[in-house]
Amino acid sequence: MKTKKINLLSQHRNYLLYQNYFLMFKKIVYLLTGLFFVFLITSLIFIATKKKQMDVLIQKEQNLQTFIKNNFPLEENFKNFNNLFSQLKENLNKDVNFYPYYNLINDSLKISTNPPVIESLKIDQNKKVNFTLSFNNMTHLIEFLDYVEKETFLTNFINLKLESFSVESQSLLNTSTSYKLSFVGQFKKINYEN
Amino acid sequence: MKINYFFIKQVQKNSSFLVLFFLDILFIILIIFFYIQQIKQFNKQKSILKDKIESSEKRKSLIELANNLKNRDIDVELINQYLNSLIPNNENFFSIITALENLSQETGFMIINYNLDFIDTNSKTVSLKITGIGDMDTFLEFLKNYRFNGGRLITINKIDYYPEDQTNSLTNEKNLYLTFYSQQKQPNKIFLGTINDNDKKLILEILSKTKIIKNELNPNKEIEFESREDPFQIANE
Repeated sequence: MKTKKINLLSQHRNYLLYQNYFLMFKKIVYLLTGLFFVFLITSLIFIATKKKQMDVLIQKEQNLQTFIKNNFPLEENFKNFNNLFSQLKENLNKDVNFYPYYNLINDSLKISTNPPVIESLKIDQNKKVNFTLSFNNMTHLIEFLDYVEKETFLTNFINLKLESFSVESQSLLNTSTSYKLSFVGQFKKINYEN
Repeated sequence: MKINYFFIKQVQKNSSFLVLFFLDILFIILIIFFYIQQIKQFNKQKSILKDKIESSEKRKSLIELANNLKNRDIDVELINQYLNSLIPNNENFFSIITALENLSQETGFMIINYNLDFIDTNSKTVSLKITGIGDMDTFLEFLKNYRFNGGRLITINKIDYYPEDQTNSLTNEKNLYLTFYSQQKQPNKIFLGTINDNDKKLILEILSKTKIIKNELNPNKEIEFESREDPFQIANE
């Protein structure tokens, strides 16, 4: 009869191998449990922090709403004012606002030693200007041309150029002659137009 | 199939650790999932709340600006009465005629004729061609005061001025194209700037020059404005 042999040393080695694997497994389980608690605590801290932040924002919004509620009539009045005033300013931009620009040109001319006479003055809403000046003698005209090139006069305009020059006699027998200069250009916008 | 008794024995011995292992994995996944959901939810709530606060802050600035004006003795309610006269809620020809009469009386530039210019007239603007007579001084006085003094806002988009023609006031007629305005609804337009010095001067000019025209046809009718709890409601929609 054949007897079955058992190698006790080899079996023992297998047993120890599995025991080692499970020891390592236990360590992994401890680690995962630790990780679970770390995650749990972190998320709880996160929720608490966020909740606090939200509470601050909610409180801020509530304070603002109370402020708005207490000032509702003032706000309504100001909204009406706002609406009307912005429309008024928008509409005023479409206006030529002749008078301050007329004054500006009139005052500028008075500064020159022999001021000319304004023959015509055309202004549009974009402050584009076209004006004709009349002189009774050539010397005054030349003096004025010197003045026109100075900063004191040009400072009122974005651009200005001499469009034409003409000489007109009343009649062949009459010695009185008028000299006319026509300019075209654009006024600088006056900050406050009254 | 070969059964490993040592392995089974170890599994039996460590069964509680195996259960704990699976529970750990399950709870860690659950916590990560919960954490991501919470971040999303908080961010969403925060974004909504911040939008609300931003909108409320704008309204607060508006109120503070109004309070600031009040402290500078600018009575917004009073100014509104003048502005409502200058730019009425609804167009009515009675106020246009009154404004022209006021201007004639105040400046001496007599408006003898006016015609409606249908080409430039629409629901919000009325364009009139007027003919007036007067000497150079009265015409200049008209040009100085036409914008507010009549009680209605008037603009002129172009003026051709010939001083020499004004020597004879009785025969010299002047034609001008005047535009009158009525209110436009601008619910989305919220102005949040400050009232600068130029604006203040403009307001003072309006208060000093404008003669309020009351709506004689309906004197008790208040001008109605659409009021909203949230002025930015339409913009957000």
